[in-house]
Amino acid sequence: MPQTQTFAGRFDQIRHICHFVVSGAETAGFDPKTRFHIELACDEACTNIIEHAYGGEGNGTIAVRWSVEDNVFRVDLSDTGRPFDPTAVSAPAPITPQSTINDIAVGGLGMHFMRTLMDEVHYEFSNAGNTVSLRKWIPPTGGTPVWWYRLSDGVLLVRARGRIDQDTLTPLETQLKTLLADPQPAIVIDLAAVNYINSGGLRALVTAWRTAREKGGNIVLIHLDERVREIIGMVGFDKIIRIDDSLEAARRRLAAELNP
Amino acid sequence: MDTLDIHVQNYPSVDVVAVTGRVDSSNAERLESTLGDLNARGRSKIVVDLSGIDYMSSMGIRALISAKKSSANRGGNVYLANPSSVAAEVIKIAGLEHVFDIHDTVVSAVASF
Repeated sequence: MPQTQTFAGRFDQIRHICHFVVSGAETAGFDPKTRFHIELACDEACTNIIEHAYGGEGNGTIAVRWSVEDNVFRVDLSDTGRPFDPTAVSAPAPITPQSTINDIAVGGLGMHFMRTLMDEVHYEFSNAGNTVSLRKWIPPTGGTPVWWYRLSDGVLLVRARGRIDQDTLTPLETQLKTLLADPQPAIVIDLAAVNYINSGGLRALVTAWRTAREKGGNIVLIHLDERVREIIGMVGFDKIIRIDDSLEAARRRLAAELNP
Repeated sequence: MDTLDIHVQNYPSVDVVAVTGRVDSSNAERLESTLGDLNARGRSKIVVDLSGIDYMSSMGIRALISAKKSSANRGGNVYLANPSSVAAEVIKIAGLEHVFDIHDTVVSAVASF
């Protein structure tokens, strides 16, 4: 059952909006860290609405609706302000270890947070106003080590957790094999929750990557922790398989290279 | 905690700003103006103690970025000290963990000026 509540468009209301949304994230079964990420994304979206759609505080309301549908947690934030599409805001210049404070812009972080913390950010404008829709895919319960989703643009998002070693290799290979049956597989493998990968796991990734390339598709990796990045770098696989910073960046590049 | 508390301790050449609680769009302006006021008074060597942060949105990061920029323009800097796990994570999400100088303790941050 979707839940709806309307709040005044003031900065001091945002924490209450977040509280309402986090109760939904709890219902969806997200862990505390993911709930915090959803809270932050929601905060940033509401801040944008008040600053940009309403041009300040006290100029309208924010209608909040959250729902759990299939395996997606969805938050819709609607206002009656002037058209403002946060998804049209371009990503900030990439930050490298060499970047200094002079390279960093003061603003524009809000959309970066939303893109980084949620799986999908959509925007719609109608006669009634703007609606920003934040979506996060819900992981399966139980100990499933590998699972996947088909995103709205057809990209296949694979997530894994824990160690990728002899115990989890078979589920990984089985899932990848299913996905590689796509005519032009565009696969993003999110390794955020993976803390170790052995040589068998690396081999499985490279084999799958080769098959995807042969079919005109691609496989990219995102959210590598330092240890996994080190392992992949040690064997030189980072020169073969692309590693992107975020799901958003990975999808943008896949869309550009696969549908030129 | 749902409030923001900002405490400034002046030392001879460095100021330590302890930020506690929640920094979001309803109150980040206070952090920005506290840091801006120090700069306006010619105090540009600043340590921001983030150990008491319970929550921080990008508005908090924004205040830290602009303070670091204006301190750097005056020959100083803003160093961060002992960030709570939440503060450290938000800095990482912003991609700024290498841009900010982050110290384990206030003392080592002050000492590094």
